[in-house]
Amino acid sequence: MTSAAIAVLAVVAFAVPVHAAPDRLLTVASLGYDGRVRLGAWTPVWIDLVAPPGGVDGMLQIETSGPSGQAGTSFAVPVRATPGALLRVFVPVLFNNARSPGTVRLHDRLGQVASLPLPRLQPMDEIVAVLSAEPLGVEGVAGRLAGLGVAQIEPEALPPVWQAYQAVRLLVVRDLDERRVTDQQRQAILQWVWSGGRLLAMPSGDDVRHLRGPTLGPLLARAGGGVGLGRATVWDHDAALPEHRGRPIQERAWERVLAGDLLPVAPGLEITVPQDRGVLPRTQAAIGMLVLAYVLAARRLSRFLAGLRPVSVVATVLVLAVATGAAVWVAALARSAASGVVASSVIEGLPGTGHGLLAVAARSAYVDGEGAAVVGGRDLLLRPSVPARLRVVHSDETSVEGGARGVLLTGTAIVPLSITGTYAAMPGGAEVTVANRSGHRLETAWVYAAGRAQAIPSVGPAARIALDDRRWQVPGRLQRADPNPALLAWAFARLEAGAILKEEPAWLLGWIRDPAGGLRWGNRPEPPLQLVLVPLSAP
Amino acid sequence: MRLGTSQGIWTQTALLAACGALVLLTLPSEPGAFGLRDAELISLLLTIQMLAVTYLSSAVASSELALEGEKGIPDLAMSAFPARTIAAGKWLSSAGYALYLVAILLPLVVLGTALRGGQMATVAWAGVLTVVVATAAGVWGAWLGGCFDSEFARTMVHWGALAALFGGTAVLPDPLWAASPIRTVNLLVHSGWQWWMGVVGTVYLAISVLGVRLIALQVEAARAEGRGG
Repeated sequence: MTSAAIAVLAVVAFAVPVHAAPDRLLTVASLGYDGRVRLGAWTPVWIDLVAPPGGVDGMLQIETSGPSGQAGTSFAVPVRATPGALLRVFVPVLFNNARSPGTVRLHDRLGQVASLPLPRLQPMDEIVAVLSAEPLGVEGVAGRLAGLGVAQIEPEALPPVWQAYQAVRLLVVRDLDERRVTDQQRQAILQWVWSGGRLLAMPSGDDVRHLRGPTLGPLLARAGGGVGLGRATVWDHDAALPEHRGRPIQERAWERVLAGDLLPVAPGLEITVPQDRGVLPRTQAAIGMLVLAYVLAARRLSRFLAGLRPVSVVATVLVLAVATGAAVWVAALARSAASGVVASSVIEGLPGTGHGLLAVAARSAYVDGEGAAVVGGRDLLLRPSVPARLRVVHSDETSVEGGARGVLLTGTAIVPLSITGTYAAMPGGAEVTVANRSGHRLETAWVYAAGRAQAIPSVGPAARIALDDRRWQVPGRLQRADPNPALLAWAFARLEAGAILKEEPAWLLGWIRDPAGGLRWGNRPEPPLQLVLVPLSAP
Repeated sequence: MRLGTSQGIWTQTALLAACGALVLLTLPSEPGAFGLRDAELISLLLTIQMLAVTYLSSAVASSELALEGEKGIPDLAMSAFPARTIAAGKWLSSAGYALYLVAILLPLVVLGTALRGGQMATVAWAGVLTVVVATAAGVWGAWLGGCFDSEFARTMVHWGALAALFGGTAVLPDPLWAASPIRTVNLLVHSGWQWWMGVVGTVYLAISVLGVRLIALQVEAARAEGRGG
């Protein structure tokens, strides 16, 4: 939905009133959260575009500056509009320079049509985004927390992709006109909370219609407020009312709801990405056969050449020339097969949502010529892990172009994941039941509980597995090869540190090959492989 | 002669098998095992080519590796050929054998180098340097074979000479270390061909010509001794 939303917003004229000055083709409608951004985090940018007299069929590109003012990453969205049409285009952007954030450029096939420098940004560590027509008194509490800024925003400025909430510690919703919010924006709020975001809702005076509306209703319906990894809280009073605003009890309530830092998605995943692709076993076998055949042929050649007749010398030279040419050809094939993307992908189950949080760290690994674009699957928003001179194109997929070899990319997405299970401890062992409706077998699976792991058979649509207490292994000394041991070790380390979900008694881990979560190297799909982590609840 | 005998064929088979195994075993079998641009592996391959070809050339010429039909200087001194012809023949057989070994190794060396994105010019220059050094070693090996009746003494001196050639020259101070074939090959891989490498090749060519002169003198001395005896 994420990338599709961007494409829809970009390509189709968006039915939102646009107040662009007629003499300007480009206007910044909304930048970050009321100008506040976290440098290095996905930031929502809305640009209003008035199509020129000849129409436009090109790219809207935001060229950002690097931390030292050098050219940084560009973020582009394809745009198409008839003459005079008004478009509001959403572009998720990573800023790295608040003083000189970058320039918006509109290009068509003939070149640049218009450009617009972006205004200075207000860098913040984290942001409280507030949808309220009245002040709520959160500013004072936030002011006491270093680096936390409060931004009053309009519903139209809400991002249509959940990743663009990356800098938001809390989204406060008091006033919400549902007519001013799109389905993509609603979906983004929902997915952001699933992924760990925190939302606070409250009535607006005695108006509670928005609490039961299509935006907040699905989030607030769940008892206790826990939704996926995040939390949706609802207050029964309006904090904007004078009897609440600024009162000590209200300030303590704000402190409670603002407490706790934002948790990064899959920290340290980058270190599990292999440096290079290996040479495929079948390529190795073919090279081995050719080498063996040549060694045997050379024995005959030696006998043949021993007489030093002209014909034998000529034949030897020819054979060596052919063998050398074949060696060059075989090497080129092997190098081509070793080019592509190396990646670590992990899907963490989001309890109660039927979805998982996909995190990908990937690197271009190619050995000859220019690298191809790395293309993320649908919904995967890819970015360079450090500022780099690349172009990120958001269309129906996200592609990263111009990446030098070795540049590390990271990406996140919310993907469907219909695997649930229970874990019941018993005398002498435990029993695990799994219902797998994902359509993919869970290969090379493990059950993790209380700091120990036990290998289990691959899991099909349904499984009931008895665990033997004598077969537990310590995660640091596993006696089975996995497709990506570094990624498995990373996952076990996260589980051991209690960094995912502490309350779950056990976890199911295994590998699936879901093309939807895979990457492409140019037009070539890379073999998908994702490590899935599913929390097992008590029966 | 060296090519058609069963020992000669087994020798070259062992050489090819070792280099083939090296190419295969250094393939990056699993992600992250090796970088495909690893110049060190190209350097290793070309160094092994240099060591193996030079050793075989000198060992066969000195009769340390006894090949059927291979005649040493004392045997040839008994023949009717002029001394200079015998010496030139030793140079020619050493150069031809070194050239043959480098040629049959070429497909494997090219495979190993191309897999790692190395330059084919590097392979060519390393091959030329290997042939020149191995020719010199072959000629001097033949001369050493004529100097010692004792097989043990000949082997010891032969290995001592090889150690000096490959180990001793490598620890020489700048700029004399350029005489080290291994260091020159290593630099060839990392920096490409440089003019002074041509000087090194010419010096080894000159050393081989000096060896030819020594062999001729050795043959003449053996014949004079035979006539005197």
